[in-house]
Amino acid sequence: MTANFNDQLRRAARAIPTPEPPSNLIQRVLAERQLGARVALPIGKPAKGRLYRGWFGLAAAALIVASIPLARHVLTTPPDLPASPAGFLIGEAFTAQPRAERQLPPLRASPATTFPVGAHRYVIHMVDSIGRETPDGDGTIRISDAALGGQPAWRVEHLAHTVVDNQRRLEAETLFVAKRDLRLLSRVVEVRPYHRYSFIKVAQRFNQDTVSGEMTAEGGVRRTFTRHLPSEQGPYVSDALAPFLLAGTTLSVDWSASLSVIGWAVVPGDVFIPVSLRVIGEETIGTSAGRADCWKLAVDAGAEHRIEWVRKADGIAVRSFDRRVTPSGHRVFTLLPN
Amino acid sequence: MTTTVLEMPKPPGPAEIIAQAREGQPDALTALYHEHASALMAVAYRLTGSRADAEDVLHDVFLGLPEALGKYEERGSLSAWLKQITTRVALTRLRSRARTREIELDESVRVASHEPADTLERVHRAIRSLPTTLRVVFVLREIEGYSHSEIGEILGIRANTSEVRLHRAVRALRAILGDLE
Repeated sequence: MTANFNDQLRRAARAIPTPEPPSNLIQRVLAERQLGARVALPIGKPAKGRLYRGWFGLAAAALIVASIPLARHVLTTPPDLPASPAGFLIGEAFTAQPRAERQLPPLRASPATTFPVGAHRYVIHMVDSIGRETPDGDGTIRISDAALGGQPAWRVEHLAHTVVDNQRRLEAETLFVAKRDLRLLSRVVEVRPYHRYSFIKVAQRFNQDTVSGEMTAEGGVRRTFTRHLPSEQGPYVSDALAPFLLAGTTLSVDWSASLSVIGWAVVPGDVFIPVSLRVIGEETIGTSAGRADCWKLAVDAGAEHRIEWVRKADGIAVRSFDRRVTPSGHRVFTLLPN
Repeated sequence: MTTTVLEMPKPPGPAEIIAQAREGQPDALTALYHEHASALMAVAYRLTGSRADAEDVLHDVFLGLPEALGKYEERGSLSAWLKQITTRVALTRLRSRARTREIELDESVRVASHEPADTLERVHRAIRSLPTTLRVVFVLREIEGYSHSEIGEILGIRANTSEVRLHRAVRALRAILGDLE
């Protein structure tokens, strides 16, 4: 490595053009501030060795985590489940996942949990700084009775139409969950298109503390993976079931719990996201199906925060408000009445 | 006939603008935006590698600026302080993106391709292909000019860790780029 190369590299790197800031961005900021929007900036020094846990965790964007289907995943025709995990475990490697310290007790699933069989639609709106609502996606979650490997299971099909980076996408997920303890059994996610690929498909199998599987994309792109799921970070759930996760749980004014939302697990940073849930109040909210008495929950994943309203009558989340401010406003998920 | 001399109001000085921005006054925030946004956008873009992400970073920085200025001690330059905050917000966003499903599958493909590209484009692609931990140190040290000690403070790592990461980053870039002639 020569000094000459380093100098040339430095000169070239500094000469790479960068975009100009949008001239109207400050107007958006001022309008949002006038409506009370604020964000806490990371000013203090991070603790040594905690680069990826403290304020860095602030942006857990996969917040799809929250209870209503994450904006980026919604329903459609379920792709076929892989016939056998053995087919795509070639060349996998274990990858350690950074562990966060858990503050709350794990969510305990009741064996008697019964999910509402049938199709459930939801819509997503962006609500801007002056209260205007703009459609931002929609989806359907279809729940049915099934069996996998001889054990009773819930089959969940999640189909969504979303727009990501100005790309309109169709996202489909098929999930099998054990009825006995709501453990994840198998999951397939397909997205069309995905960046420059016409599709990407991720198939996962869950076996005790491991998720393994294969990602494929157009043009023969293929990657296998096996990731560890530490038991202390469980239970692991999929956001496809998010609005119904608390259907078998008795909530109360001081209730709180933690869980982790499973990611695609193709890359080490996307294996799971720890989430905490806390009841912070009780509210009666208006929905298109009438008024509903709800528990109000704070849903936190790092510094990402949502407020969620869970219907007292059946434990179903009927609305989720993403507190993160984007240039287009806040994202609100609303489950529609059947 | 009498002549009235109109005195033009004196524009606020930097200290006054900062004081007004602390209170969230729109004119002061707008003035700071016009003065610093270009440099901050550049930092954010270099770190995130995405215009959209860089704009989001800039948005968040100015949205939270009045409250953050409450902790600005006015010892160093404001532009350096803003850059440091922007860097931290950008790193937060990078981490966030890594947790989403937006896997950039085509990065390695693009870098490995032999399509014609000028030096800047080649270097740009090569830098983007680096693992985040290496790329961040490379950008902060070689482009933004931070010392290893300052980088260590920003990232919460030791200065010699920063040095090691820079060395690895340059070595990786050398392997990708070969000669830059």
